[in-house]
Amino acid sequence: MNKVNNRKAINNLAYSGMKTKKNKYIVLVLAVILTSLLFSTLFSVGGSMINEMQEATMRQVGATNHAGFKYLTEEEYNQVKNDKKLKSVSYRILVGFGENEEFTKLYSECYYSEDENAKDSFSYPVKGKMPVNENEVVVSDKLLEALGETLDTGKTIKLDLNIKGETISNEFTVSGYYEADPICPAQMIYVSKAFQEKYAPSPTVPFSKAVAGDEIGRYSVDFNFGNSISIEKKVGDLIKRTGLREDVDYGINWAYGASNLDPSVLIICAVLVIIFMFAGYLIIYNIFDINIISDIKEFGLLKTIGTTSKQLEKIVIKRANLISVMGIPIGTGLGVLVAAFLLPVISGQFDTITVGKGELHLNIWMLLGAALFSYLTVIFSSGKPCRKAAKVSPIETVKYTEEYDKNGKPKKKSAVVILSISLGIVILNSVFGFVSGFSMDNYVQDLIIADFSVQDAKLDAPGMRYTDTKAVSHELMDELNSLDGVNSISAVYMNDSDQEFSEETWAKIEKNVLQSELLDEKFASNGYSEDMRKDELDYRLDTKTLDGKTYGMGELAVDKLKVIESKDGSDKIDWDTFNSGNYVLVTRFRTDNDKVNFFDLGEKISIRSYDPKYAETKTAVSESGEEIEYQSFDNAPVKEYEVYAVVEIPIALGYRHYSLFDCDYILSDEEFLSLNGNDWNAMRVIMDVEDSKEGYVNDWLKNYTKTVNPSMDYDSKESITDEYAALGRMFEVVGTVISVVLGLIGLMNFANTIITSILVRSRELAMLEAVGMTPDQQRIRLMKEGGRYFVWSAVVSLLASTVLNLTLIKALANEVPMFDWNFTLLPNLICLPILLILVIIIPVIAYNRMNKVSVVDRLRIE
Amino acid sequence: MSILVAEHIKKYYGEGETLVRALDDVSLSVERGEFVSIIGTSGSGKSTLLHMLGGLDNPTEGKIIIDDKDISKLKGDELCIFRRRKIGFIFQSFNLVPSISVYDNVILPLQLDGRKIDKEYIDNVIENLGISKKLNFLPPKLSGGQQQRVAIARALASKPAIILADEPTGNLDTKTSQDVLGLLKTTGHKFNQTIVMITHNDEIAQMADRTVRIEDGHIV
Repeated sequence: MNKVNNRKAINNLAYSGMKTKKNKYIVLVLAVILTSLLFSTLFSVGGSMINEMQEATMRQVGATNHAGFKYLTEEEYNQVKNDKKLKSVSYRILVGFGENEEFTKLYSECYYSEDENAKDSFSYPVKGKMPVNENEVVVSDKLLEALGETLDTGKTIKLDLNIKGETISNEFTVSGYYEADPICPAQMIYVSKAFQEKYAPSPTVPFSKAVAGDEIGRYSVDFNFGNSISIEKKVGDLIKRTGLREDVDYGINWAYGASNLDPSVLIICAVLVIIFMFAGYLIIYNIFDINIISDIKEFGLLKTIGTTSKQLEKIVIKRANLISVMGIPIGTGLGVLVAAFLLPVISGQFDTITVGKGELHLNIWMLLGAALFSYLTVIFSSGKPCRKAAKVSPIETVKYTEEYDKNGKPKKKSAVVILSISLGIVILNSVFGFVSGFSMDNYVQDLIIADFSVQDAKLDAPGMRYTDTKAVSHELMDELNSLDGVNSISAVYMNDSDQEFSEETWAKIEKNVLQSELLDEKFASNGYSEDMRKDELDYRLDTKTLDGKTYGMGELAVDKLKVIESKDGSDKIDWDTFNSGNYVLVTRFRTDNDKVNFFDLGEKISIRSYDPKYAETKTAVSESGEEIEYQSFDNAPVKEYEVYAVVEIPIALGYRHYSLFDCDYILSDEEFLSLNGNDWNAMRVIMDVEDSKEGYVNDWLKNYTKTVNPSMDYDSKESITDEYAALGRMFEVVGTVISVVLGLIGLMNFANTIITSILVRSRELAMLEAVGMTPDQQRIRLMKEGGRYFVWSAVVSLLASTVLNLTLIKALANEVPMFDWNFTLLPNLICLPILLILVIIIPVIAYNRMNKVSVVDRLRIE
Repeated sequence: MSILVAEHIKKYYGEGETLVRALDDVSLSVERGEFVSIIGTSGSGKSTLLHMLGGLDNPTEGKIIIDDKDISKLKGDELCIFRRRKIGFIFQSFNLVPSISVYDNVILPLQLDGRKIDKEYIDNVIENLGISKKLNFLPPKLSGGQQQRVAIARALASKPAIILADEPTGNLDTKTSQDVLGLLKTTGHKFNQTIVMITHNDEIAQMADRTVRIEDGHIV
């Protein structure tokens, strides 16, 4: 077919047709605005949250780079640095560790670092510059404060640096300082290249051939690839490509992975995305569908004149474009504003510590994606009358009227109206049903075990590696015990050494645990590669040990343990029997889906003493021939205990670092101390307090952790409850916003449906008036008709809401922690009366407006 | 030479006991430049016949040849384009596009076809139909007679092979009917157009060069 120039005619038809049906297109634009508002809010909030979590993880890791090699020689660094597939490479060289007395609570590392590397590690000076001269240094603000200096450059400070085991004290001029990230565990001391070369020259022997611990002077090389997809594989390729030794130590920045997102968050997000997309699609689709008859007539008329289907398509697309151009930018913009309002509320609930908390992070691709989805929905929906018109002969489309059912009511229209009304309510009811099921009780139960818990400030922080598990001294415990109102108090001691087993027990563990499918499942969920699995298993079989902790707990703590099975069949531990010194409690091997006992009840277990008085200093010889000293307890006494019960340790009680097996033992506090020595300090202390004294104890602890001993922290039942109440508020706010938007959509849909159905039948109504039906009778007739829609919609939405609530919402609420399932039809009960009022008012308004035109004129309109 | 030939056209609706034979073996031919009226009572099948002739609807059986082309074999867009180029329609209900001006309505078939507008010819047609002062109006602002004259102008604009008029005066009063019909006839002759008109009105039918009577789906 020849290309014909008919653009002008098509434009004219497309845009003039819109002008004559202004109201319809205003409603459409509104629908598009609401839909794209939903999408862009969703995408902005989601994108910002993911960004925030990623940033927080990076800060925890302490770097933005994709990956890094550790302990390279200069030669090895040169092998890597020019690789073409790397986007950027930078390095730092380990010089030593800060050892000033003032730094006891701060873990500090001393490096020479390239500027880029410092920037990527969140430690580039905010004031001053990186060191150049031998006596220049950059430190964190925390280190400066610890030294009692004000935050400024040019100061002279004395630093004691441990370099290869020797302490070197030097005076430095502060050339700059950086602001330490509260979440980053290590403080940086940056020295100049000159200093590093003088005191910590780079070794030339590769790390794997050197003596153990020969880390000083080696290169840590961080790098970025073009993108963050499958970094691990890229690192493997890089090692092969550059000919680096195969056993090189490398680290992947785990901030670049979706796996660090909480699965429950992912499920909630996915459900919201699906609901919103579905709602958005249906809103637009419905509104087009409601107007389908007038469109079909218009298209039919154009066809009789000779407009081809291609030309009709063009007209449809031009209109859709115009609607989109008007609606999508406004909706997207408003969505971003709503997101900016919601983000601080939502972000406050996530355990991330980052500078830009609650900040809006606009991802242009996500917004474009949202806009595209709205646009496609508009195009698809507006094409329907066009496709329908193409199917029937033009002369029929001109005369096209609705199909009537046996009562003389338009059949399909009724269904569309009822569905579109019910849809909004059903979605609202489902969202509300889910969100209102938020219940912190279940979730918090595991976190609140006593009125107060006191421990090292960093102990329970996620991602902390250097935590003090012996922070609560016996003096502090005595002091706490003597506080007014303290009813009971219990220490939790912890020793983190591998567990050893008798031949007999080991044979059973090998069969039940190491050779079971459960272990494969555990490996998979912990992300072990094939090689890592083999190494781990070989090591365990070789040493006949399992990782696990030995706890010592007082009566109050033991009382909080969850008893799975016990010797005397009771679900409580009998303290006096347990405390006799012959018994031990043990945990089970658990995966996400299943569990198996390590030990049987009554089985005998040997536990080694780690009392420092039994420690012997021994030397071992490394591969390279160097002698290394270590503490051995090989000759320490071993005591035998009988398994009294199998238990689970609540999160709040134990050490929140989990390993592969977690084969944990629990002794009574007295027995733990008699085994390991009375100087052993507690990891945490829990206490129950008289209700009337809670305020007093809280104030005492607040003062103690703030001024007396800031390295300690405490949790109170109240603070945890508050924290989760805030989470509840987030769901309220988010739920309200969703409900308002969905509610608006539902009402708009309904109003539009009713108004359109009246306008479409203006001729029919005029005919009735012509044969003698008075306007009042007509209004009543329309109201009755609206009432019929209402009754059907109420039935459908109540039924559908009930069914959905009992199936999908129930399943979802049971799946996601923190949510309880409750049956609710409350949104229905609120919305339906509003609809009933609208059902009565809208027909009257619409009719009155229509009635301004005379009967004769209305009869003439075809 | 016949510009339109219809051979053994049948159009059935429904089936079994409810089968309706709207057209039953109708044959007809029209010469170039002829003004033929098809007359019949309501339900006689005359409108159905016209829709078949105009390619708006497909016959159940039979052949329709316009300008040596068998349109019963054309489908979809092909048929649509043929209609746009070879057939001008005038409907009882005018079927003007309400949202665009009178002038745009007149030239719409040409524009859709991407054809160059023969301005002299269009002006001539508009002048003859007496609507030159209404060109910038929207159709709903015009009276019925005026609207029908616009429709005639539109039908003539593309210089079709044949003009099909479906009760063109059905919505008009007697005086206006006479005027419109007179204009249709004179412009038809002036621009040498073939016209097939449907009506139930004997008086109006008599204005044609030839009348064909249709009853119960048969030509009598």
